[in-house]
Order: sequence, then structure tokens, then C-alpha cells
Amino acid sequence: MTRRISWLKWLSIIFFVIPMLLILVFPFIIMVSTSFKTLQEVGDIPPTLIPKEPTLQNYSEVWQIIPLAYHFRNSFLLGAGEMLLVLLLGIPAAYALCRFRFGGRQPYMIFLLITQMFPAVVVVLGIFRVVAAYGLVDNLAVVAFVAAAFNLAFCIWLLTGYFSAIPPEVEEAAMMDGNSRLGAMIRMTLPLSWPGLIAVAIFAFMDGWNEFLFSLTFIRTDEYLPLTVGLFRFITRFQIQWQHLMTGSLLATIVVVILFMMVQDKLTRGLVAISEK
Amino acid sequence: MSVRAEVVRPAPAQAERAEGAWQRLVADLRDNRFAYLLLVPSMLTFAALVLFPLGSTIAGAFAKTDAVGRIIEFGTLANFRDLARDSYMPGIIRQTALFAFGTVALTVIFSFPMALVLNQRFPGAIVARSLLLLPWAAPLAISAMTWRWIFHDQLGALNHLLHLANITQQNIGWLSQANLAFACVMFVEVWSSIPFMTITFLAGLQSIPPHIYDAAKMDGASSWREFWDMTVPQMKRVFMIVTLLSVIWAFRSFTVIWTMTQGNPFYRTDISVTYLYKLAFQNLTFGQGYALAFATFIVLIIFSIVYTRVLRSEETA
Repeated sequence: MTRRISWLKWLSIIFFVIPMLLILVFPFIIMVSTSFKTLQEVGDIPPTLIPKEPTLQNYSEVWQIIPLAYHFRNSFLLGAGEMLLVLLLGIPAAYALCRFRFGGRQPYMIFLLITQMFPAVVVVLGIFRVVAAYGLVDNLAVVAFVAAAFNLAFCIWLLTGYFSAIPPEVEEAAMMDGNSRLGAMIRMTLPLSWPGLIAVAIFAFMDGWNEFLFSLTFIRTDEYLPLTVGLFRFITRFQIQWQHLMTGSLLATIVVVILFMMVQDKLTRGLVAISEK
Repeated sequence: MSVRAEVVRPAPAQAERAEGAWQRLVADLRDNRFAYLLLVPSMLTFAALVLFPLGSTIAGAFAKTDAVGRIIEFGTLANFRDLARDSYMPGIIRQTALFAFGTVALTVIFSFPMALVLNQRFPGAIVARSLLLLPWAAPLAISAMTWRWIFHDQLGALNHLLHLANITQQNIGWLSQANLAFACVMFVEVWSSIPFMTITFLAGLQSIPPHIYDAAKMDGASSWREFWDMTVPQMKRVFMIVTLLSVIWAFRSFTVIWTMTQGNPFYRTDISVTYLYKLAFQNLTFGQGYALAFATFIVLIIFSIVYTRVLRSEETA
């Protein structure tokens, strides 16, 4: 019987898992392939998978064709801003939810769930009037703040999971030594849960880096656009130069993929903790 | 829990009970001052950036608005009436339902078997898991644009692959024919949702205690019976939660459609969130946009309540 199972297993790997994985990574293969092609080869019919005359030209040209350096800077600011905001706002909330059994705890948790329920577009519409009226268009801080607010509930759940893994006894010990509750939290719980904090920080950074809708609406000037919308404008406004678009896309993707690979394990384990609750 | 709640009170009168609740609230605030203080920053943020916009959208849904979305006159149902008269609306509703439930169903169909296989040990399993998560990490707007390039009618990789495999020699206009374009945006949405769902299923599978299988083995259950009687019931809860979240997320999905088709051709790939965005920012009929946003929000809330009710009753049954 064991033999039959392993036979089935191999069959499913060859005919299901491998094709699925190919489809999942296919766009990234195309990105790499197109980014090394010349303009002429991009227009070749039939298209080629491996460039006949691989070139690095796109990687130097693309910076002149679109304000890619600005886009990179803005994406970085959005990521870093959202990361800071999520940690600043999320850590206290998660700590309170995890260590105290207060009357407002359950209502607050339900409220967090409800914030996950409405479309970001609803918020965009509701807030646009204010942003326009107070001249807050083209302001990256606004985008970072709105994106952070939208991601906050999820990050609070993640953080609560990490904090509850730290035994409260270590804080009690620190408080016996004369620390205040806040001091105990800062000196003991935060350092002990740092792998979790880093996972959440990177998750928030990725969310800011990948943000699309808020930047699309609240930013008008090219110079302040992040990569996602910057590259999107590039394909809608101009005659599309696919080799340049794919080069920019690849550069934008590599950054988050590397970050993601670094915390992949921590993050998925945190998600597991959420789904089990 | 707090001791105060257990204080014996012989059937208090209405006024007394209200007073008791008030006192309990005050006592709770006093006892847990630090906890409430810790919640203040996040509460303020939610109030300013989530609750306020929501209220503002709801107010706008029942008001006459100008071209930048300001409320001119409050207290009218004109926006809803205009929406009901909008000839595109029936299509939008149909497409939204099809998109939300279709993508989730398809994602489950592909993710669950994937999780079952990845739960086994085989050489390359770790590599497979990392590759699986790639679409989740990459910026969705950017991978959707890459798919747009793959679906390109003349230069795209997909048509080329079909030519090579001798399935067709035509250049299919994937994103210019309405039904095909809708299938394509659904496909990309499914593509982007598979990693998260698979990893959640995988986590669910790994949390099944192994000893329940041992008992089944001793009874000589076949692996098929084992799967239906052991694995599937254990996964039910994870399954229900993931599908609920996924339907909500699919309802909210904006990026894939906007970057691939912007709802073209002729609003045939629009769903409610992309259409209401157009109503507001392209047609400048903000009022109708607010009204559709409000309706979408209500539908999601009702759906979530019904779904969690069902989930609870299933659990107690």
C-alpha cells in the first residue's frame, strides 16, 4: 500500500505541482527574459524566451526614460513610513490586547475585524474631499498613513500572536526589580519578541512598497509617484516600451522578494497563529 | 474576569441596572487605565482614517454632490435612483458576484490539492514552497502588468505558446474580447490568491494531531476513507475562515482589474469597486460613487454576518 501511495504522490507532483509552480513563476520568467531584450527583439514575431542578443542596455536606459530613481525613493519612503507607523500604533494596541483582560477588549477585536470588511475604495472616496480641500495631494505621508491604517488590524493580530508567546513572568520579574509596567514591556517583552517584530516590520514595509490604490488617487505629480503607479502610468500614457517596463518591474520586484525570503518562515507561522484562532 | 461582575444583585430595576453598567464601565476604565491608554493611538488612527471616511461616504450617498465630491444638499435618494437607472449596473452586479465567488472557488480548487501534496515529504519540497509564495510577495500591480504583457495579442508569450503547441495559429485578443478579458482578470486574481490560501491550508493540515491517523490505520481504514473521515472534517474550520476572508478580499480587489483592463471593453470587466471609482473620478458623479460604495459595504457586512452565523451553527451542531 505504501508503494501505491508514493506512486500517486509522484504522479501528482509531476502532473499537478510542477505545472502549477511553472504558472506561478511564469510572469517572473517573462520579466527577466524581456528585460534583457533589445527593442527590436521585443517586436519579433514569434517572440523568443531566451534573448538572442542579450543586452544590459535597458538597465541603463530605463532610468532616463522614466523618473525611476524618484519612484524608487518614493516606494522606499512609503514602505519605511508604513513600517514605522504600524509599529508605533500597533505595538501598544497588541500589547494591551495580549496582557490585559479589560471590558473593551472584545469590542475592540470585533472592530478590528470590521475594518477588514470594507473596500479601500470606500475610504478613498470618503477621504478624497478632505485631501483635496486641504491641499494634501502629492503628499506621501498621507498615503503612508492611510495605507498603515488599512494594514493595521492585520498587523495587530500578528503582533498579538508574537507577544502571547512571551511568558508574562519575565515582565513580573522586571517589575519586581523596580521597573514600571511600561519599562518592563520595553526592556523585556519587546527585545524577546524581536524576530516577530521584524517579521511585522517587513510585512508592513512590503505593504507600503506594493501599495497602489491610494497613490493612484492621492498623488498627481510623476516625481512623487511610487514604482507601482509610476510604471502603470508609463504603460497607459506612452507607446508602451515593454522591455523598459519589464526592467523597471523586475527591479521593483527583486527588492521585496529578497526581503520576503528573509522573513518568510516567521511570517507564515504568524499567519498560521491567526487562522487557528 | 472581573470580580465586580459576580456581585450578587437581587433583580435590579431598569434604572439601577443602567447605573450598574455605568459604574462597571467607570471601574473598568479605572482598573485598566494603562490598557486603554495603549489603545488610544490606534483608535485615533482608525477614527480619522477609517471611521471618518466611512461616515463621509455614507453621508455622501444620501446627498447631492458637486464635481469634487462635496455635499451640496443632504437628504436625497437621487443617487440610488440614478444607479438603478444606470444601464451598466445589472452587468456590474453580475460581474461582481461572478468575480468574487468564482475566483474564490477556483482558488480553493487549486490550493487544497496543492497543500495536500506540499504537506508530504519529497525532494525539492522547500524550493517548491518558496516558489509558491513568490506571487504573494511581488507587488500585485506589477505582476498584473506583466500578465498584461503575456496576454498581448501580437507579441505576448501566451499566443506564442499556443502557436507552438499547435492549438491555434490565430492571434487571440485576450484582453480585447469581453468574455476572454473577464476570464483573464479572474485568472490573474486566482493566480495571486493561491499562495496565501495554500499556505493557510498547509498550516491547517500540519495542525491536525497525527495520532488520529494512527487509530484509523489500526482499524485498517483505506487512505481514501482516512482522507474523507479524518482530514476533511478537521480542515472544515480553517476552510470556512479562509473562504470568508477570500470572498471579502475578492470583493475589494481593485488592482488586478485596474492595471490589466481598467474595466474595458465597455465596462465588461468592471466590478463594483472599479466601477464606483470611475463613477467618482472619471464621470465626476461622486454621489453615485458614494451610493455604490455604501451598497457594496452593506452587502459585505450582511454576507459576513450570515456566513459567521452559519459557521457558528455548524460548529455547535
